[in-house]
Amino acid sequence: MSKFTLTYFDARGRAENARLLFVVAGVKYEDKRFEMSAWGQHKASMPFGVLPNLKLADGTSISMSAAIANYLAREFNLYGKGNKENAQVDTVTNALSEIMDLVYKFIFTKEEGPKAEAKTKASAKIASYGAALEENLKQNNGGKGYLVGKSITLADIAFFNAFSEIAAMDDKALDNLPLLKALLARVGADKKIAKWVETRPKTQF
Amino acid sequence: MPSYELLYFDARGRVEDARFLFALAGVEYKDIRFTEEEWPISFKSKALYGVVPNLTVDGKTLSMTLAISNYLAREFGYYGKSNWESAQIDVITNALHELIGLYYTHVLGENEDAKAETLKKFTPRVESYGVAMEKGLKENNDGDGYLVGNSLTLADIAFFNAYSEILTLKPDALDNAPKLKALMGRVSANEKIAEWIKKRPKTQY
Repeated sequence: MSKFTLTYFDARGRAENARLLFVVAGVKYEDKRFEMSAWGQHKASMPFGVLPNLKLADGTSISMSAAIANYLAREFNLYGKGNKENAQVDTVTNALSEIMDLVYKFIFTKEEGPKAEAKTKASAKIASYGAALEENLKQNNGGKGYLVGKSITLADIAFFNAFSEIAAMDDKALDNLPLLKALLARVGADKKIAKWVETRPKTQF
Repeated sequence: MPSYELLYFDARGRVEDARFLFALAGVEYKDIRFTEEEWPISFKSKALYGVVPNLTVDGKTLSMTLAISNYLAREFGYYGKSNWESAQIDVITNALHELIGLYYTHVLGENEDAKAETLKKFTPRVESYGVAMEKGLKENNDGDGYLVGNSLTLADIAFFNAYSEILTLKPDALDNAPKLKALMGRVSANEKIAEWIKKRPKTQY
């Protein structure tokens, strides 16, 4: 019986950071996925009426993707060492979350005009935050390692997930960000992560 | 004692949680404020990630509201006494961050259509999140104390600040949440918070 149950739609979306934390830590969990059609019946039973939701062995649960990710990152020592590194991880994950809000807006907008506008907004944010992330990475041991500290953290996981999705919208997004481009490959080459990416359910987003 | 500098508009806005934390901890900091006009001319290009708030601690700068609030909360002991409590605080700060984002988009919006659109998203969410927080509060020592654990944390500060603004837009937001309503009063009655509220610059937002 798994200690953890992660509930979400059948998608990578806002649960994939949590999933990758389990993968990197080598910890088993129940990867529960709802069909969109089934969500309606379950919505009322979820705190705040939102997904993802993480249920612990004692029956208590945590909602909000950032709260879930931070909790697991702390549990698995993937949240940096000390308050300053924790805060650097938070800065990265919050910046990426803002970018992803705009990327999802683009993905889910159907009308041509608004969709193009959404892409412009997302691209602008990717460019400005991307430059800051690149500088961040450079400041950390010349950028040949990880975003925060000396080993992989939630910051790198969140970056990998975000820019994997972004590539589908704009495959040139990292062209002027060489250190980040190399980091994306470095994280993707991690044995555990590569195996998960290969075997996970293939979903649209 | 580290030297702290907080950079933001001359407003309560997204940084008031940080200011409350400094007030509660009795820690000095430089409360740097600029006007709307000064922002693009003198501050935007120097701001980390091109956005504010920024917190600089002994010369090292952090960006992103939640990263800053969490850093100070951890530093001063307002982030809960366990990983689980920290996660419950994150749930609340993240939920409120969403609500306040919609609130600002609405009140600061220039286009009537966009304002109406945002209000349509805001209203049901503030209702469902309010229900969830009231329930969470009741489950914590019957709701006569604080949102998380047995003492004031960042969760209560964030709740107080967010709802101080939200109630100006939706005065009935806490009408069905008597425990939350009482918590508002309990937070503002805190001596150090009351003192800060009395002496802080009076701004529209």
